Amino acid sequence: MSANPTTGQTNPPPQPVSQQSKSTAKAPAWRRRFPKLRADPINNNFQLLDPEKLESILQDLNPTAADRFRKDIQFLEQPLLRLFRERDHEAYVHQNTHRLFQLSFIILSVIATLAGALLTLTLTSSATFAAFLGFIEAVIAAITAALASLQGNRPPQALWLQNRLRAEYLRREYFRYLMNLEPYTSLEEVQRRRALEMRAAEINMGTFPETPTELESVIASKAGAASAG
Amino acid sequence: MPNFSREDLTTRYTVFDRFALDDQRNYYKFRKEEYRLASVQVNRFKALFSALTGISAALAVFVLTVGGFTGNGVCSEVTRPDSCLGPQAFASFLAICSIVLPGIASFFSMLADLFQWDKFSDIYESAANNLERADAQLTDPDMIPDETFFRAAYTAYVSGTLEVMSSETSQWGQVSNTVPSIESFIEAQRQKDERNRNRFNPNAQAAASSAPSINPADLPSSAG
Repeated sequence: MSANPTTGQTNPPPQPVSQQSKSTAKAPAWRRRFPKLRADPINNNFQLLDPEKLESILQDLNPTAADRFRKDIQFLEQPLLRLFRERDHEAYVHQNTHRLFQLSFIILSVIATLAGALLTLTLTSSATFAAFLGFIEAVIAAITAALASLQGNRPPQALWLQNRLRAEYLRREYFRYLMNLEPYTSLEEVQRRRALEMRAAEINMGTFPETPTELESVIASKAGAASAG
Repeated sequence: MPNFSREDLTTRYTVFDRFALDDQRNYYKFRKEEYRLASVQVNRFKALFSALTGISAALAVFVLTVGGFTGNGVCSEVTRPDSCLGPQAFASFLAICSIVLPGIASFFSMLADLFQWDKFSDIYESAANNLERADAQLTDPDMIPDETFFRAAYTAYVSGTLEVMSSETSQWGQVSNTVPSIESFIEAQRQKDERNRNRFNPNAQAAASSAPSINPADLPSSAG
């Protein structure tokens, strides 16, 4: 963390641009990424480039080039940014669900361990308390089995990674188009837009224009393991 | 890039440098510091609760030894048995502490396995360093008057930055796994639940009695 030269206090580093709510700085760092019981709703106004900041930069640049850039930004809204928001939000929801399940299992396993240890300790001294602990153990087993079968139908981890991969590809495509990289380099304006629409739709479906990444193989193995389980 | 003038590319470079690269750099810096801090905090908790477990167990033994008890925990003060109540209660409290505290320590241990703060902070650090290298490809467009060289530097700069972002995403895909001890816990609880339900189901009981016996050693051990 950087120190504030006027107050002498430490400043938190700037937070990243994301459609999820900002982490609460007051909470301890280990608790900041804890899942929520209800995931935040989708932010349909989210922009990868902050319009106000963008405008303040564009004002000082070549007017013709700035206008052309504004048109590109405007065009990207419908074929790409809309899909990015959906995939990004889906990824966040599944990540939240996955962590919620995992955290529930962790808490249940700790309670089960404690109940088991106390059961052993009280087995001879108090039969009633031991019976109560046995009941607790049975309830934990039932809840765990129910939760495990609930997440087994649609494994949230595979869905999280799948949607995150698509969202990140869409983000990359957004900048590829704006920066006029391959394959947009040599295309005329109409073809350029058409190519973007096609590529964004393909990425959204899970067909990636480039070679498969490590993440794709990880997702495939996780999805395979989940369906086998 | 036949249809994009140098002004176009300079405009796009300025915006990309400010929004994509700087934002990404902030993101990596923010996450790296947050995750490193989280890792330190959780490690401290683990160490604290482990130490407290040892201390409470040792103290319980010490209290039972010097608190007027015989070797098997019976009060040696036959004439004044009330004098043993205090140390006995304290020893019981310590015994419960030595059961509860490792449970809390294991909670933090599993939490660290779930969130993988250490690995992620390393990933973000290396991504931030790679981003600096990509940034070095083009620092000031005005310093490169040659058109061909400028376009080559521009492409290397943008592609390099996007490549760093992509490889960072690939790496976190590798480390975001489920906690292995949780998997074994779920399996053990499933079997326990199955046994509990079969206990009250005569049909399942009959099927179980006709089925070959299971060696308890083959069953997965429950999570600690």
